[in-house]
Amino acid sequence: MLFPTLDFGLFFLVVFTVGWTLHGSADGRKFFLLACSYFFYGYWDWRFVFLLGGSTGLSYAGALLIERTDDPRRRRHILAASVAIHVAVLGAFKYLDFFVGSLNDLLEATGLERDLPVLKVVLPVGISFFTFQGISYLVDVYRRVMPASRAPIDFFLYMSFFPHLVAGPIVRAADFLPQLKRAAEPGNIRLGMGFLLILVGLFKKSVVANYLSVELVDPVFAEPGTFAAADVWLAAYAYAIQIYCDFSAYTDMAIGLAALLGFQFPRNFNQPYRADSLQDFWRRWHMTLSAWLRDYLYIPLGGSRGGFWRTNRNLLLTMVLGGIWHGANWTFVVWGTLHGAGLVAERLWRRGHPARPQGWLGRALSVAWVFHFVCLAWIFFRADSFATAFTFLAAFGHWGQPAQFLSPFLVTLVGLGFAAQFLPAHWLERVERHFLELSPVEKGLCVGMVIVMINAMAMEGVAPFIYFQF
Amino acid sequence: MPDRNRLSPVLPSTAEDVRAIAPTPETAGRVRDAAMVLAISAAVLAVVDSQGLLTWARDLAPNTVSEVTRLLVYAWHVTMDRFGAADIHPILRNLFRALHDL
Repeated sequence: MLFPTLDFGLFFLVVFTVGWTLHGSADGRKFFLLACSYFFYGYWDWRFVFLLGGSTGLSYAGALLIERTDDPRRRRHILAASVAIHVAVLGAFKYLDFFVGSLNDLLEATGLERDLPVLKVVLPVGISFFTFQGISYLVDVYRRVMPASRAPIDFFLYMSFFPHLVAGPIVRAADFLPQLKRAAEPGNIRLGMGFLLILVGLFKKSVVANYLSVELVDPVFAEPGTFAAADVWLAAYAYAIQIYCDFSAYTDMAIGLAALLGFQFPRNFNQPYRADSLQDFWRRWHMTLSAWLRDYLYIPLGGSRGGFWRTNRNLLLTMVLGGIWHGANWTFVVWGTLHGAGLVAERLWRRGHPARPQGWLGRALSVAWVFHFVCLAWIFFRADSFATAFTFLAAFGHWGQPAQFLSPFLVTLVGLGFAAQFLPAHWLERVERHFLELSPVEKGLCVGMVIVMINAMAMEGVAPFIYFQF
Repeated sequence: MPDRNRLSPVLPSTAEDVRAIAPTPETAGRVRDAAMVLAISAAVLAVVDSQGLLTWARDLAPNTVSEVTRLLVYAWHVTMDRFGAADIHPILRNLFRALHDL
């Protein structure tokens, strides 16, 4: 059940209406939202409901056991065992076939050919996201950042709450559980921002991301060697815009839907392609994953405690592991390594040149450099193999051929996607202020007409979100 | 808990970067208003895009409920067609296709 579908629209109408009708009974409302969240997840594949329940049960029980003892060794062992089970389950579903395939390739290359069976394991939607949330909760309880939850309904709802369940944003238990403790306030919801985020998300996904994907990115990445340089350059830029519009659309809608139900999620994107350094880029792109990697990977690796070079090593390792998290393919490893190496190179450069770029020209050049570096890394992220990625890179020089995809429509979409990165920082809050001045009837007519317009512009059918596969 | 700000040279330096935007006295709204917005926008969509509703109903898994739904949606679409409302969505779509094909 994808967000931009009528099925989901009807589902949400029921959740909204019944959920708020039950606001007088805190437990009733939570139980209802929990049941709806499991229904939402089971709609994809009912078998994985047990996986979600098991993963949640593991975190819930593990945290209680950690809290029950003051013995540091015992606490550490329980944490290690719980996290190991989480990682093993994630690994089995996500990486088992990848490792078997890689081992087969290695054995073949060394002349020890064996046909190890590839199991073709079906990847449960959102497994990375709920596993990360479970791990962060366990570590937070271990670090005594928060107490273990003693309310199973609250905790199960935190892990499965449908707006963030399958593609984030990654919500921390310390941020979400207190929201369940407060009584739902029907007079205090972020109504304007909720609707605006849903509309912006619908437009980004249904129009920008889907057209760029179907009419440009997919065909060029399928056979990059057959296209002209202009097509390949445009496809590289288009993929940068597509993945931003696709992923940020999902989290925009998730944040908006949660807001209408009275919950607050952390924001996940902040105009990432206006970044003037890679460091800046990672403060704007998938911010909840960045924060997760910082708190549960980078800091346990030692963070910045071991001096300049050890910091660089930890940074590189974090980005490589972040790359692997995105998918079971060596191309994702290269993507993460490129970003890690870029961040290290940036730190080395800053050591000798501590001053930041001055003036608009200096800043514009920095933004252009960072954007092109990110686009280069995206090629490895998008390509299904190294052969495709290198053919794509080689095609940047095919200047003799006539372009096939250089249509005003596609160029405009890419241009719009890039220009949107430079809108004033709080532009949506300004729109929200004007929106809130309208009467409820006017608001309803506005929202309805915008949905009709988006629907008229949207492609036929709904493509799945890119981040569902992670 | 280690000092996150000191330890991180790259990733977000402050918790505010990922904090939710909670309603303020200026931005807080009522559920009753949100329900009205949802109802009116759903009605606008049903009036203007009754053809889309019909396509959705045709794809429902066959059973008694979906059969009744299909009949109701079909009757609704015929009514909207009679009033001319069902033409709005195709007109908008064709307009956009013309822009797309420029």
